[in-house]
Amino acid sequence: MLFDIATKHQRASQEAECVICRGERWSYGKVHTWAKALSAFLQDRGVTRVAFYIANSPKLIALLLAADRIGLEAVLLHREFPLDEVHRYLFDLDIETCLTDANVDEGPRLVAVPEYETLVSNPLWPETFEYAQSSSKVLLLTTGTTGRPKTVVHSWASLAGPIRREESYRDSRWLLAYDLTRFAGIQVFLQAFVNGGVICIPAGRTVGEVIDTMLRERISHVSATPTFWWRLLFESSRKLRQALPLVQLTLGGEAAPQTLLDALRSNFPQARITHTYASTEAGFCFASSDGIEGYSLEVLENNLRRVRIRIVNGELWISSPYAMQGYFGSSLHQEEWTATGDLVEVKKGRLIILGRAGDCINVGGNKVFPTQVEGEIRRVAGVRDVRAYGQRSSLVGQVVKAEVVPENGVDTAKLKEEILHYCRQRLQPYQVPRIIEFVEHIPISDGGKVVRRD
Amino acid sequence: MSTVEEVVRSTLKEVLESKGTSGDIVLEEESPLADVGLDSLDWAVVVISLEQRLGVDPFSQQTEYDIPNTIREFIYFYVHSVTNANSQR
Repeated sequence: MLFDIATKHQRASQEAECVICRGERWSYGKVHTWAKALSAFLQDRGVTRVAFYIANSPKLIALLLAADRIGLEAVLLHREFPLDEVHRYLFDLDIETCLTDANVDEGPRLVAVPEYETLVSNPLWPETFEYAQSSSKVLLLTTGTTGRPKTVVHSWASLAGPIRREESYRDSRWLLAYDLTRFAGIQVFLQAFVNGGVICIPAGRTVGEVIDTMLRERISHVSATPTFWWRLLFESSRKLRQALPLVQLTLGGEAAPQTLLDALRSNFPQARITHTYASTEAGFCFASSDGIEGYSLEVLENNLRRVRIRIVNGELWISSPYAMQGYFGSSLHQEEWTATGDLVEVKKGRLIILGRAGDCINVGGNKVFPTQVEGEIRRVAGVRDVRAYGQRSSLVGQVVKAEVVPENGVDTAKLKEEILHYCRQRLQPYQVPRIIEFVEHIPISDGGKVVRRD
Repeated sequence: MSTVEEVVRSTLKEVLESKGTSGDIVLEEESPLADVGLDSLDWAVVVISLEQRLGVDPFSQQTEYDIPNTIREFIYFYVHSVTNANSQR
């Protein structure tokens, strides 16, 4: 199905831009040609499952298309995994061929991706070769900030099912702020690709480099984590932000707090701002563009995408036609309901995401949600970034600890007092951070989320 | 090097000060812990800080000593714990 989409787009226009990466421009025609050549190359390996250990690039996109064309299972391994972890996955998932752009010794399993010129000038199979009917699958690792990731099996149809198809999206230019090996990255890729839009891979990960790419490539659509958006707001000037021609801002992967939605609204008054709820297992679930924290229950009940919700002991459960087929290794019989691991509450007719059940801090039997504490601390002037988590205590189980990145030149002793003073007014005594430490940066997982662990 | 007693006292003083209570408060030896003006979470913070500074958390392990009720007992609770830990090294 993925390959067929490329075929359709390149028929409509060979030259239409598909991927932009470090100044290189790949048209739908060129990506399609490379994917055809790569599918012959993969077919030649004679495997049914293949892993890709490759950074965001046109190469990786062409390989996804190629694997889909010949009905392979494609396992996506994050390029920042250390090599021994990669080998462990290859062993655990029984993968004989792993294509990589890493500069490592090729072995029986690790294989370098052939370059476009080499492959296309010397095709392995004639154009007319008949390929098996596609039964392609995508295997993604979960981005949990704790524990060992699970391997989730999806089909391209379940991944692309909820993608909005609109004629106007043909001109959309998307920033790929996520990694393509992750569910969120695949969603952004599909949103652009299905509609024939452009995918731009930023030159680097710093806010400066990302903004550079956004300005140079006239990025109109950006989907990223709240953590990313906070960084963008803190690390760029208002003037620079006003120069960004953004049409659509999307927040996903973590709960989007009201403070952030308000800040984005005032900084990007012309843009549509959407926060989404999705998970690797449950797939895309729902979105809201009204600028209010949470999701209107009324809208959820009339959900056109046929996603249903249920709350069990405070935890959100999802039933969705776009959910995974199952975990790798277990029977792929799809359960109707998936537990999300997210705790929620219903307030004023809206479903509010409180945070990961595993991130919840237990203070003497009281539940504290890090996002709530972080939200209050962020309101204090002089605070640049923050994370809250539970510090183990032999007396009360856990107490709330906050790590704060101060603005440059701020008197931290005074800031600490102000944070405490503010929190005492706004929070229950057990929610107030009892330990505040000033740090230089907050650790972020390779899925772009805050790691709320000691 | 400061003694265990000094570390315990200064930690208590810091936590009291962070609550806006005067740091000059006299920590009388016989004062019941209940009267010091710290709630259970403050005590949790005291214990966490002391674990960082002294390397022991006597509340997390079995001990032959009773749970302390006064400042003096609290200090000695830590003195014993540090002594024990040192003798086991």
